[in-house]
Formats: sequence, C-alpha cells, structure tokens
Amino acid sequence: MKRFVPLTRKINLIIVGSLVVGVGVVIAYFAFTQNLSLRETSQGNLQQQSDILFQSIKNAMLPGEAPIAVQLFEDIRLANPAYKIFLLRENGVQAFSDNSTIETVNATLGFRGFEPKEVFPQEVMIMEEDLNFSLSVRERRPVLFQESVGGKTFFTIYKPLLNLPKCTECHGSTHTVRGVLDITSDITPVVNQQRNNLLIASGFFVAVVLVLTLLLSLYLHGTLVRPVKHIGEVCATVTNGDFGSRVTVANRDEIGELGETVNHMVEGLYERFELSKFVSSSTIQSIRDHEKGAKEEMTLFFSDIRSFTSYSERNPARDVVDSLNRVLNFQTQVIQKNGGDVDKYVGDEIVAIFSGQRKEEHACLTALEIQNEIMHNRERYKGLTVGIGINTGEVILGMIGSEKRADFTVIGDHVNIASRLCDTAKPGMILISEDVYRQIGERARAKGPYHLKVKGKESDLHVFRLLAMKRRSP
Amino acid sequence: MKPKLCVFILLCCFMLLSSCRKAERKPLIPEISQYRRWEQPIGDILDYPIPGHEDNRRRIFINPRGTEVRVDRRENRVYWEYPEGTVVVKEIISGLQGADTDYPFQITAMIKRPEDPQSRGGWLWVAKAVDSAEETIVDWEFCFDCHANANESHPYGDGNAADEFRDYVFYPYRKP
Repeated sequence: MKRFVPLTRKINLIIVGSLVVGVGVVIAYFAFTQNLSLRETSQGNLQQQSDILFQSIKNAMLPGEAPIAVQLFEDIRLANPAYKIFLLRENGVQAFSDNSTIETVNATLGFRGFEPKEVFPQEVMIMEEDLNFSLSVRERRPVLFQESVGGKTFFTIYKPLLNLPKCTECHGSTHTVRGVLDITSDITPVVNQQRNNLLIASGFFVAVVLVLTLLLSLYLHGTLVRPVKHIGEVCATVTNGDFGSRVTVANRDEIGELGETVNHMVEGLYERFELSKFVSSSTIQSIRDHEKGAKEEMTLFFSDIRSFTSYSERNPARDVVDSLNRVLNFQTQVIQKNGGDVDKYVGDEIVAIFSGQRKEEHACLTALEIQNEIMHNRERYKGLTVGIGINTGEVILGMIGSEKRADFTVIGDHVNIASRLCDTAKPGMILISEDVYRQIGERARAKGPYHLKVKGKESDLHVFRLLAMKRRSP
Repeated sequence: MKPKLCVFILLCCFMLLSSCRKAERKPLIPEISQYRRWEQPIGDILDYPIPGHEDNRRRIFINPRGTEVRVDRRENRVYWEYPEGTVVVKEIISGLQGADTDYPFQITAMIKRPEDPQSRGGWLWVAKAVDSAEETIVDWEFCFDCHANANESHPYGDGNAADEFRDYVFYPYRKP
C-alpha cells in the first residue's frame, strides 16, 4: 500500500521543483552567457591588440627599426603593469637582449648593415618550458590560453612573427619563425566579475525561489489545500452520522463546485437516511441486492389494535396519533429486538416477518412480550389492546408495486392465514397456526386446537391460543 | 498519447539530432593521381630553401580552371585574378636533394573560394599530411601572410618587380 503523502507536501514539491528548474535554468543561462560574453570580449580584445602590435612590430622591423619596436614594448609595460608584452626568439630568450640577431643579419647581408648594441636590458625575459609556446612555434600559429598564477588570472597569446619572403634578405631563408610575440593581460578583474555574477545570480535565484515558493504555497494552500481538507472533514463528519455539516467554500472554481456537489450529496444522504426509517430492512436489503423475487420459508406476524376505530372517534386526533405511535413504536422495538423485521404498517396494524432457524419461536416470544407489556401497562397505552396472529410457511418475497412506488413485501396463502388469525384474535390474544405450534410445541403452553373456518379454504384450520412459553437457556 | 504522435515526436527528435551531427567533409585536395595530370606553372622542382617549407623541395600544379586566369590593368597596376574554383597544389618533398620521383610527405593547396568564411584573401589555405591523409584548413596568418608577399616585389621567381597584384600566387600561370 502506498505511503500517505499530504497534498501540501506534494504541491510544495511541485512548486519548488518547478521553480528550481524553471528559474534555475533561466538564471544559469543568463549567468553563463554573460560570463561567456565577458570571456569572449576579453579574448577578442587581446586578439585585436595582438594584431595591432603585430603589424606595428612587423612594419618597424622591415626597414630595420627594431629598436623602435623594443621601445614600444617597454613603453606599453610601463604604462600598464597589468599588460606585459615581449618578443621572444624561437628558443624562448627575449629578443634584442644581445647582439646575436644583429650579427646574423650582418652575416646574411655580407656587410656591417647594423651596428651592434652596447647597452642591453638589465632583466632578460627567458621563457621556461611552456607547451603553449612550443605549440605556437611548432605549428606557426597563434595560441591563446588562460592561466592562474599567485591568485591572479591571465590571458596570454603567443603569436609567431613569421620570416616572410621580404624578410629573408636580412634574416635568411633557413627558418620560418623569427620570433614569438608574447602578450599577457591580467584579467583578474574580469574573472572576479564573472565570480560575482555567479554569486549574485545564485543569491537572486535562492531569493526568488524562496519568495515565489512562499507566495505560491500560501495561495495554493488557501485556494486548494484548505478547501479540500474542509471537504474531507465534512465527509468524515457525515460518515460519523452527523448530517448537519455543510461545506462552506467561497471559491468560484472546480473546488467550489465540488463543495456544492458534496453539500447536495449530504442532503441526499440525509433524506435517504430519514426515509430509511419508513422502509423495512428487507426492502433496503432488496434494493441493495436488486432482488426481483424469491420464495422463502418465513414466519408471519400480524398485530392489530382492537376497537381502534371507536377509540379514534372518542379522542382528539393528536391523542389518537400519539397513542397509536406509542403502541406501534413499542411493538416495533420488541420485534426488532427478537430479530424480526417490520414489513409494513397498515393503519393500526403491524406486519412483521421472522426468518431463520428459530423464526417461530422468536415470533411467539415477541407476541407474548407485547401482550404482557400492554396488559400490565394499560395507563401508558390508554387502554388500547392488540390481537396477534402468527403463521409460518413458504411465502413469496418481492418488490411489489409500480415503478414509482413499490414495497419489498411478502405475499401468499400463509400471509393471508396469518392475517386471518390476527383478525380472529380477541384483545390480548395470540393465535398461532398448527404449523407454528408444531415448531415450538413442547416449550409452549397453549390451548387448542380450535377449528377456524377460513374463507377460500375447504377444510377448517387448526389454531392454538398461545399463553406462555419457556425461554431457552442462553 | 496517441502512438502516431509518439512516432512523429521521436522522428523529429531523431532528425534534430542527426542534423546536429558533424557532417563528414569531402576531401578538399584531389588525389595525387588526379592533380598530377594538371599543368605545372613552373616545370622544375623548386629546390631552394624558403621560410614555411625550409629545406624541402616543392612541386606546383594548377587545375584547368586556374589556367583561365584573367590579367587586367587598372589604375596603372596589373591585376591577376584567378577564377573561383581554381586549385593550386604544392607538393612538399623532403630534402633539397633527391630524385624527381620522390613522394611528397605533405601537400598544400590554395583553393579559390571567396565566399568561404574560412578563406583569407579569397583563398582557402589547406595542408594535408600524406601519411594520415588529414587535411587542415589554415585559417590563421601562416600561409596567408607569406603569400601576401606575392602581391609585391619578392625574392622568388621573377621577383614581381612591377609590383603586380598576383592574387597571392608567387609563380603565376602563364599560357604557353
């Protein structure tokens, strides 16, 4: 069986999940693209700068103005410490740090075209083992990369200075790369900006998710969870037999409609509950079972108030109804206590049926208890008395009536006999048929048999007047 | 969900993924047996060292399309213009000495494709390692910067003393 998970938790999970995914994706996308754009802009700038410097150096060197290029590098380094620029030889040693290039050029020219220098820089840049530098020299192409040193981040570009055909006059044709331009830019502020962007985006994300989650949770709790819980509480109250509760949902939506439907349902249930008081248990059961009709062995119990017509003529209507209900109510209680089922009330008459193995005994005990009570409490029942007839045998049970109004009742010859016995019984008298007597025989004290002429029967019926009965030991 | 709709969605996803797959590129440089049937702008093997190819010999071929090169004079300058689709192949043969039948270790090519985003100066610069048959489009300065010298006076061939615009070709094709 699945574990119970509260609706609130499910809704909160959906909300938080949706927000985390939705807002997270959007913010992550913007943070990522912004950082990418920052990075690409920095790289692009460095590329452009390197292109400009490259052309400057190339053009300065062609007419043999290398010192101008050297001074340019120095000036750039001084102007912006975050920006370093060097021209290195293929072997990684800073160019113009000695006279070797001048000597080579002079040797290629075959005359002393350039005077050797006498003053050299105090600090000479020598490139250590660097794969990117080697790659740039080997493949003769620019290499751009990012590295972190001492808590700072740098973009570096190695751009080879090619020995072009027009350079070969001075530099010879035996090598392709004359040097490598090394430009390094401190991009720590950019990286910090990227980090800050991510932090701000994350903080913004958490704040948005929290606020939206809270607002949506409150809203959904008010519009969905609380009304549903309220409907559930009303249903639970009705299940416990209290039909007075009603759903009060102000929503004009599906939940509101559900509340109204539940209210209609409770009203319907209440009406059916009230109606069930006027319908026999067998009728209710037959409705549940959708019974069409059946033959069954049953004991029929008929009880009728004697001289009720004259009593009703002598007393006010309110007293008549009151007295009648009191007698009928008491009899109904005794019948139900002994396992019988009131089939119907016909005026001042009760028709009850008993079924099961000891149905005759139960019917007779019921009759004796009723007569005993009425006889000893004449005041309470305003002097009213009843006559009771009991018969047993096979009867037909079925839904008798029309489509609009029907009762699940019993019909048949044995029903008629029981009715006739009841009619015959004098006030306080219980008449039972021979079949009933035979079933309770030894434990019953009865007078009879008497012969009773019944209309429609050729032979007389043998009937007994039941006086008392021994109860079975429990 | 209806099965047809599911199949349709799956098909769309498949097509989308297929379109994202890197398409295999057709070789840019023709097979040796093919380009060796082309004309050679200079009949000899170039056996002197030059930057870019250093101490290696070079043999140059031009495809028939390239032989339709147009030469115009505009504002006192001569312009050589190779038609789109021109392919100039340069075989790089190891060492400055050797037999004419030596096999190249590298093949480079200039392909006239002005519309190609990787082209520089209207040419696509391609290098192919013969061993691996791997082709690389050289879209950085290396080939382009060097061949830009062909458009001015330079130390190779006729030296372009007239400062003609040679369309990045050091040894222009001249009709026999």
